[in-house]
Amino acid sequence: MTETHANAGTAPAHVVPVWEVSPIRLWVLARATFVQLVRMKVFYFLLIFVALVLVVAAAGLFWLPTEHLIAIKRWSFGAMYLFTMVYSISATALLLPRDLEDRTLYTILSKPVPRIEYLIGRLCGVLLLNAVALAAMFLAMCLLVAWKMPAVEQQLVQQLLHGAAGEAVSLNEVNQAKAEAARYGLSTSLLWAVWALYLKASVVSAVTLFISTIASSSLFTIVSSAMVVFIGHFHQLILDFWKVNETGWFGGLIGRLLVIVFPNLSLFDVVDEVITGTSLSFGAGLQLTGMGLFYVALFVLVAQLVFVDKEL
Amino acid sequence: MERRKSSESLQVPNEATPAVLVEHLTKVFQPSLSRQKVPAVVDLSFRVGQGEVYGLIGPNGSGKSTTMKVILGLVQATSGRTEVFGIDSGKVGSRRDVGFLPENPYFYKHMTGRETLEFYGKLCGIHGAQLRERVPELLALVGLESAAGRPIAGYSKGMLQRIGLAQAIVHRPRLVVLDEPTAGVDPRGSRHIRDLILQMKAEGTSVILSSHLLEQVQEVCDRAGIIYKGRMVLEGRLEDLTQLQQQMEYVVEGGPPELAAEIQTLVERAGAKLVSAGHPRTTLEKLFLESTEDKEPATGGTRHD
Ligand SMILES: Nc1ncnc2c1ncn2[C@@H]1O[C@H](COP(=O)(O)OP(=O)(O)O)[C@@H](O)[C@H]1O
Ligand SMILES: [Mg+2]
Repeated sequence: MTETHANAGTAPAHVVPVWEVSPIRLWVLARATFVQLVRMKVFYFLLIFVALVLVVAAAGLFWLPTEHLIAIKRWSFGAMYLFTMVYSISATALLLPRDLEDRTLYTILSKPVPRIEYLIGRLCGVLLLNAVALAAMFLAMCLLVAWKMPAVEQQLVQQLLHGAAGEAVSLNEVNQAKAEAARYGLSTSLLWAVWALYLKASVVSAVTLFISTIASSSLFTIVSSAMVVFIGHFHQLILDFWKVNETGWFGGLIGRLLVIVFPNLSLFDVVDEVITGTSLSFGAGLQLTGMGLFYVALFVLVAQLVFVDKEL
Repeated sequence: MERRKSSESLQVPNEATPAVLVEHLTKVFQPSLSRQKVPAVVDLSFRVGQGEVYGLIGPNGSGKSTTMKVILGLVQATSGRTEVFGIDSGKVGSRRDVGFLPENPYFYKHMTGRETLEFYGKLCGIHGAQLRERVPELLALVGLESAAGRPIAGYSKGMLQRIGLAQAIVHRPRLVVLDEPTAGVDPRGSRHIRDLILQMKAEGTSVILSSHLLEQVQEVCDRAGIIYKGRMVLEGRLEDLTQLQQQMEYVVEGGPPELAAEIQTLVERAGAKLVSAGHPRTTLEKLFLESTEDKEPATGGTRHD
């Protein structure tokens, strides 16, 4: 008797056409996620950032202004990197497993909410959190840089005068020194650097979301995501190792697999160049954006493939 | 007027479409860590008509929750099919007109009761003035006005159950699925929940509810199915299920002692047998309700908990 109906359960019924995804519901889910994370007091960690910035600012007493400026940027970006990675991994890893455990997923998915909407909504909430946290930290850094700029300019002009050893210095040369100083200051390249960081965090969030659809525990998700981030930073190393050493088909296979499975996060590491004054072209920035979006879309898609038929 | 619409689209149900249709449903779980298969539901069939209140009764582990999850598309059937108002449970559209109260519901503990209802309302597409009107209405309905501003984290079991009921009906669904709505709730709270179910029934909402206690569904259900180990063992109208056709019961008040002997002889003369006689007992539940009636302080809706 049952055989006649046996195929009904296996129909791909959960698959939702794109047009059924409602932006309003996405926003409701993203906002709820953001509020949830904020109420978990995640922003208190930013106080650590403030403390760090103060320490670095005070350290200016022992440094040349140019060195100090680089230190400010390096430390700020380092802290931003750390915070966004921690937020992306731990916040995302907490969401889905907890919803499963608390069975809040039942009430959400028994509303007319497609599963893909739930996933994207959750992810957007984390991305929103990252955006707010990064913007705040970036702003603090910019203030510090702007505060330091006159001293840097003065130092460079003074170095010019010192080098001239009493001879006349042309206005042109002074302007050149000032332009040199400006390279260290606020620039669109800094903006690109923070955007690259944001893209990287978004990719890591998407990876974590995907892992959390397979794993049902937060701890497992956090550990696995951290591992993906770690490996993702050593793409070049893996590639080199694979090429230089004749590792045989097995090693080669593993190297190839690693490079394909793990997103290349080192792509987004433009901070080092930008800090020391190298500018980043618009084209390069656009390319980064494209890569970031590609990775995010890819991992959301795989997450959906796993999640769509998951037994709750 | 509705006729034309239904001929245009197969998905628009007419009056004959059952609210819930379960046909030869079988669900076998395969826990990931063990090779043993767990048949939770086996070849289960039933239907719930529009406006009907249907009870699923069975001991713990008999497959009630699993059946409901399949109906709501949370779990996929191994074989067989389920439909809600004629739409396959797997389709998101089948959930448009359904409200669900899960077993032991739990909500985001950082949200207040009011925020919880607003959140679920928005997920159902209710916004703005409509939502601002609906939420206080629901809070009043389930008697949680005074607790509405408090975080869910501090809610008692009974309050969670009631906020769960409120979120289930936030969008005025035509079908409400309630999994053990009165489990773990004190008699007063569970009477309140029963009244709410009766109210939904009066408004024409179809309800399917589960319980491991027959008494709890007795007062509200039109029909009930008893399931055991995933199979339907008995199904029918409540009166038919509970009526002992061969027996009659009389309750007499204020009769003299001789009356009992007279009745006894009357019964014997008619060739029948007196099964029981004595003072009827009140139920513990009635006793509880009566003795707590007056002592209840007159403070808002959270008093039961
Ligand atoms: N996700 C699951 N994985 C494995 N077994 C399950 C799962 N959910 C339910 N079961 C099993 O299915 C049976 C029916 O469970 P359930 O539907 O929750 O019963 P009820 O609600 O009537 O108490 C039980 O034996 C239970 O252990
Ligand atoms: Mg159950």
